[in-house]
Amino acid sequence: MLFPTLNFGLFFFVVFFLAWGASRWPALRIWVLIFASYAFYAFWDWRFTALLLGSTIINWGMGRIVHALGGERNRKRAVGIAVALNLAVLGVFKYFNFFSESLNDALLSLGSRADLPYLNVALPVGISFFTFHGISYVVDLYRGKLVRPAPFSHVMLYISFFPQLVAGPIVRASFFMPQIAARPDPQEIKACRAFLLILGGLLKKVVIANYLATDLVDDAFFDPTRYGALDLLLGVYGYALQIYCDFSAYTDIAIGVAALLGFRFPQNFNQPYRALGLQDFWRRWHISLSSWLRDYLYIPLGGNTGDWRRYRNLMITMLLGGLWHGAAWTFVIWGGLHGIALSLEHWLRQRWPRTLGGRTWRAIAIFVTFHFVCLTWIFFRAPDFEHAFLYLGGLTRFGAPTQFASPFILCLVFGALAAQFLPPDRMERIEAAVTRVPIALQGALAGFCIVAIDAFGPSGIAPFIYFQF
Amino acid sequence: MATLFDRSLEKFAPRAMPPAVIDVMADAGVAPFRRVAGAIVTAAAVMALFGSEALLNWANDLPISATSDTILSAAQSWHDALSRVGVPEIATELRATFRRFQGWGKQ
Repeated sequence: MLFPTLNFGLFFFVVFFLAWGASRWPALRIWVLIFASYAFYAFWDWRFTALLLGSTIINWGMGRIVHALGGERNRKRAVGIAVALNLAVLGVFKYFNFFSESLNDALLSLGSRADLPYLNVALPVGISFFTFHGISYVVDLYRGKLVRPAPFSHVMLYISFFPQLVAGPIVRASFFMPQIAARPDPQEIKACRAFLLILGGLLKKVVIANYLATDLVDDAFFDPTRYGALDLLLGVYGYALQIYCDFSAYTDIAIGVAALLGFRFPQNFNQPYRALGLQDFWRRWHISLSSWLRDYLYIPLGGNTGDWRRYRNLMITMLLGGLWHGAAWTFVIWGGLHGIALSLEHWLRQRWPRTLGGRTWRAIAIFVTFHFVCLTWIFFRAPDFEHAFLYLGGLTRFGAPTQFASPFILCLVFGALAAQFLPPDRMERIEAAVTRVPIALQGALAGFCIVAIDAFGPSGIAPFIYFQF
Repeated sequence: MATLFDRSLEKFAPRAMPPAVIDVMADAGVAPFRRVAGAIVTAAAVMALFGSEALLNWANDLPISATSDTILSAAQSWHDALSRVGVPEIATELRATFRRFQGWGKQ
């Protein structure tokens, strides 16, 4: 069930009234939301609800063990087991075939043959996200960020809550659990901001991301040898904006839907293509993942302690971050390139801290960062290395006439890019203007905007890119 | 001591070590349930009115069953009734205008 569909609209309409109708009875409200979340997940493949339930049972149980155990060593061991169990589930469903194939290829290239098995299982949608939620619950308990283990129903809702279930944002247990335990106030629904986020998300996904994919990016990446440098440059700009519009649209709709149900989610994107460097980029792009990796992987590895260790930890974090996105070497290279460039940026900042200031410097920094990120997106988007290198080679094929540069495509690409430089408080400004309109009229306008977005969009909606992760 | 780089970064970027979680709804305005429910019902009504064609397409795509037959028949009657007064034309016209823009400049 995709967000920009009538199925989801009807589903949410029912859930909204049932959940608020049950708000006087907190336990009932929680079970309504759990039932809705499992129904939402079952819409993809009902069999995987057992996996979701299994993950919940493991993490709830391990949470209780971590809390009950005395002695730091025992607790640490229990956390280690919990993390290993979560990663084992992820490993079987997501990475088993990747490692099996890679090992088979490696042995074959060495002249031996192993024929390691291949598992014929589908990848459960959202597995990377709910695994991280499970780890967050146990680790937050261990670190004392959660005072005591939560009741089973709370853990169940935390791991399965439908707005964030399949593509995030990654909501930490210490941030979300207190919200489940609190009684929601029906007098304080953050509706106007929620409507704006949902409408903005629909526009970004249904119109911008979908047309960038169908009219530009898919063709450019399918056969890069057919196009010249300008088209391929436009194609990679297009992909940078497509993936941003696609993923941030999902996040915005998720935040808006959760807000209408009385929950708060963390920010996940903050105009990433205006970043001044890669460190800055990762503070603006998929913030919930990058800060999760920082706090649950980079810092436990040792963080910034010592030059050599810092670079090693950075590389491990970025390589694993790349692998988290998908079981393919192209994602590992994507993470590795970011890791190398981040290490270089850290090193440069340490060696030559005095750099030119002012607007010129900022413009150059933004330009270089954006183009480096675009370069790495080629590996992220290409189905394999062959396509990635064909694409990179094509970027030097000057002189070929452009096939993609229609006014429509240029408007989409450069309009979406220009939106990255809008004032950071744009949402507050729009909300201040909209709240002057009576709320019934706000509803009517929202309804009409949705009809218009649906009319503008292509027929059929492609799944969100991050569903595959 | 902040370097020139750090100072220029601060103008554009968030703090050097941002908090783990930034609540995007922290300063949002609030409304009571009754008004929000009214807005959602109004939005649904406007969508049913101007999006009757989308509703019909959705009903057409439902798996075949006695219930979906009833839904399809209702969606068809609703769309026909609105078509008689020309309401779905608004969405069609919006789509046509957008398609013209999409095809503008293409050979």
